[in-house]
Amino acid sequence: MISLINKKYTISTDLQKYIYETYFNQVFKIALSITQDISLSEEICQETFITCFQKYYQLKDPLKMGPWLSTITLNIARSMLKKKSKIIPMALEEIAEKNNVEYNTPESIYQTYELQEELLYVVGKLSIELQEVVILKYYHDLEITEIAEMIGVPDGTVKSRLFRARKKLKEIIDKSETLLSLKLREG
Amino acid sequence: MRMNKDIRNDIEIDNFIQDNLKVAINNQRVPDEAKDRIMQEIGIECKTIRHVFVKRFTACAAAALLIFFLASILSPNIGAALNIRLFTRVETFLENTIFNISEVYRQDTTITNNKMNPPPINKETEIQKTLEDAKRKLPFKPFMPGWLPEGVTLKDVEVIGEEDIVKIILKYSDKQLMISEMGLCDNVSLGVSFDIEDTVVENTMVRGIEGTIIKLKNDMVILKWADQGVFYSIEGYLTPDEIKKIANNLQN
Repeated sequence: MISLINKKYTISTDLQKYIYETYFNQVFKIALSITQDISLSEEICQETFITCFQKYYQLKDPLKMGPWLSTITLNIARSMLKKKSKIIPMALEEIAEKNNVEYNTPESIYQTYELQEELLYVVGKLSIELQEVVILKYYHDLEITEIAEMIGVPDGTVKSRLFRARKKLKEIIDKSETLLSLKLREG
Repeated sequence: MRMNKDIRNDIEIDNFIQDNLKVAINNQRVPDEAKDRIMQEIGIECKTIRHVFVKRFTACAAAALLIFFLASILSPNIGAALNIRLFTRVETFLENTIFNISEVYRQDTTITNNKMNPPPINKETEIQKTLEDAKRKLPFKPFMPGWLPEGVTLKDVEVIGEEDIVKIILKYSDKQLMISEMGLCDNVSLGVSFDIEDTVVENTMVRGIEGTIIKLKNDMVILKWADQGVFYSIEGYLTPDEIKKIANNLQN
């Protein structure tokens, strides 16, 4: 199996190692942020690097390796989630538990973690197209034109998706705020 | 927050996401073994190969040690020989890699205290074509044999050394007869040592001076004495009497 995969790769072993060592954490963390499932994240990570090594020649600018890998990661995550019919994301308590965040922490720490977990929760609720632009915009700090070039759509489409993403985020934030308040009150 | 109270427009949402999304993703915990496991699945041979190499090397080293150990028990001689060879190899390897000594020889004669100077080239030995040429190079007048056993003739004449010690060697055609005369300057002393178990050493009078006659196990006889700053030696497969006769018949 391994030898068959190796024959398909278009880049040298040294470059494979370099890319893997440099971007493994990024790819895995993005996959985990979206799925909140470690075993599924491993599969996504594996498929992402295989795709990367096979289609490396399609990358126009090597400096954009990070964003390119994120795009691949999100696409693979989407197809895997569809295939496995995973329901994501999990409840906020489970997310916090998976990330070693305790609800009984001091108030300030709790609020910081809660805020970030809630953000991941709402980003995970977005469609893959919107997740894509959100990650490229806010995680990789790319400009509109760079995102457009990266995902192969016009600038206007990126702006439109970002607008929809913000709107959706605000809606989900409002709902999750309500849900969270209810849960905390019940607890 | 919480968020819905504070976030009212796109800029606020931008700032909120900008501030927190990166931190939230980076805070995700990656399981320790995931990286190696995925690397192996993908087929990047990195740590895996190193692990295999280390395991194989360890196994080979263990096998070699076991063989040496068993050899030492079963056949002490062979075991000892193998062990000595192994340790010699290791020693050589370590010497060559750890110390890495390099020696530089210089022909600069002004450096007198340099212990690393190369050994001097023996330019002083000259085989003289004629006895007269050899005599001219000596600071003393050499004796020449007045009597020789029958059939023995002079073959070579060598002059060795200069300044402090000069030596003339007369080599003859038969009986490996060799007569040497060495002129010594002041403050030079010479000694001769032989294995007493294989050698018979006797004192004898030569030309009115006490000398030493040495009989080697292989029947070679050597006669040595010193006279007026010259050290004489006659040796050959002759009897002691013949050697003494040659010595007593030396003449200018």
